[in-house]
Amino acid sequence: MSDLECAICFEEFKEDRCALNPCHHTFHLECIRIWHSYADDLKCPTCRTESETITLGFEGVSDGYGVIINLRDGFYVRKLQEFSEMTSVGQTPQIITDFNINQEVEEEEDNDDNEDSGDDHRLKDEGSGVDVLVNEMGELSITENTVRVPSTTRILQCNICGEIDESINECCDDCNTLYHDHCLRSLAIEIFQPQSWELCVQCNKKLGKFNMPGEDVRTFNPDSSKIVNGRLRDKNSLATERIYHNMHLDEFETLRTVKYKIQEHVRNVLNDFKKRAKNKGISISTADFIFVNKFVSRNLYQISEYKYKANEIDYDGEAKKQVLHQLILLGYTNI
Amino acid sequence: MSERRLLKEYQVVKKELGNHKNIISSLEPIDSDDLTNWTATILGPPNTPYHGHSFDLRIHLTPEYPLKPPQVTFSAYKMPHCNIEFKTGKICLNILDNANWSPVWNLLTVVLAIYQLLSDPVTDSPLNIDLSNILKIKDTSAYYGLIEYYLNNKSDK
Repeated sequence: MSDLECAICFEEFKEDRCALNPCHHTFHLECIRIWHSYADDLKCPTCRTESETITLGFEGVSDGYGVIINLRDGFYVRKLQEFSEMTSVGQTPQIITDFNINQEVEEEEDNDDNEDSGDDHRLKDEGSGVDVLVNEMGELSITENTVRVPSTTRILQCNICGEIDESINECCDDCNTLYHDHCLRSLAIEIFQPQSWELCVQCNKKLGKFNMPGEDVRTFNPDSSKIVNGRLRDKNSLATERIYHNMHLDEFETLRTVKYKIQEHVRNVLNDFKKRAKNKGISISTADFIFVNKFVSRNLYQISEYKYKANEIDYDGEAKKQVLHQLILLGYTNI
Repeated sequence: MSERRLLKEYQVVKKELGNHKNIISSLEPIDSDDLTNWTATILGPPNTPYHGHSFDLRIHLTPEYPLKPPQVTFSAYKMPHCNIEFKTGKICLNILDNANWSPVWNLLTVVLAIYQLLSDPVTDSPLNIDLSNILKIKDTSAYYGLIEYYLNNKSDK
């Protein structure tokens, strides 16, 4: 039997291919659900491995995102990438149930270009425009307070699968939530109310049509961006921190000077290393230089708790130690 | 699901039956308009007393197939085997139980599994108590002898 056929009905797969986890055997969603309701257990018919979840849309497995049905608890949505990486090292997958975009207060990373006030036009100059945001979300219900949507910004994301693409075509006129046609249908089948696919998951109102704007769409990436006051901002920028923490301007200035001072130590040390390497005939690439600079600087801010403590901390010594360590990790072993 | 799958299975059987010539001499629906009743003929496996004989199987597929296993029986009074009831031809095979059946199996795999059962009798779930008791005390020659006696006298029945 070929891999393109469902082993239960022997029909070819179209868009309705789904994979059982952890064994990744694929079936039609309908077939495997009928089988599981017939059988007393949730085992895979092919290999008899006890299944935990189903990934809807086999394409989702390859591109890293997917809608996942937990066979015991019901429907939830998450980034599949995290799931597959975790299982590959033998850990139980973590389920992100409620991803609050405002919850993360990460270390800011100094980047001179970003120390602007962060106006709209600045972001637009970067080539993408800010009309459209995408947020990351965990469970189906995205709570009201996680995302504030000002009139200029619109979250363009399927509320079921969390994906953003051309095929988002259903929109709730009431709460502005967007959906993929196919996500709604599979959800409706999953909850055994096939008629309910035309209704908004949040407010149960009938959905209208939605057309994707032709303009560029700026995507939210939780690693690099952050939504502050409804605007998409660079997560590592100082300006973002200032707005986020509602800082006064003088506080902000102090923070900035602290960063500059610490950064200077690191840069001096790095330059020393660069010179020394040059004498030995080794050249440190710009990318590595920037990486080490950022990495070590960030570590040092952390140690000094955002205050410049020249008396307590030996910045030069600490920087030297860490820079050397990072350079060796990057493969510059002879330095 | 059932009807379309049966059609597909009919095609698969037609295509793949040639690969199992030494095991299954025929596997086809009794009436080509009705794919729910099939008949099969399997050959006795070598190194068993069944060798040289052929056995007919009746396969009935319920509307719930492939979610429920097919009902497979040997012809009555034809099959001496410790997991097969002699009077009815009923087969005791784990994959034909509701609990152990899986929809990925098809008619061909079921018939092949039954063929395998002929060479590997299981004493834990006997339907022919006499044969199973002989097998339990590991008197293989008596077991084989009794089977041969049954087989060679089956024409009398």
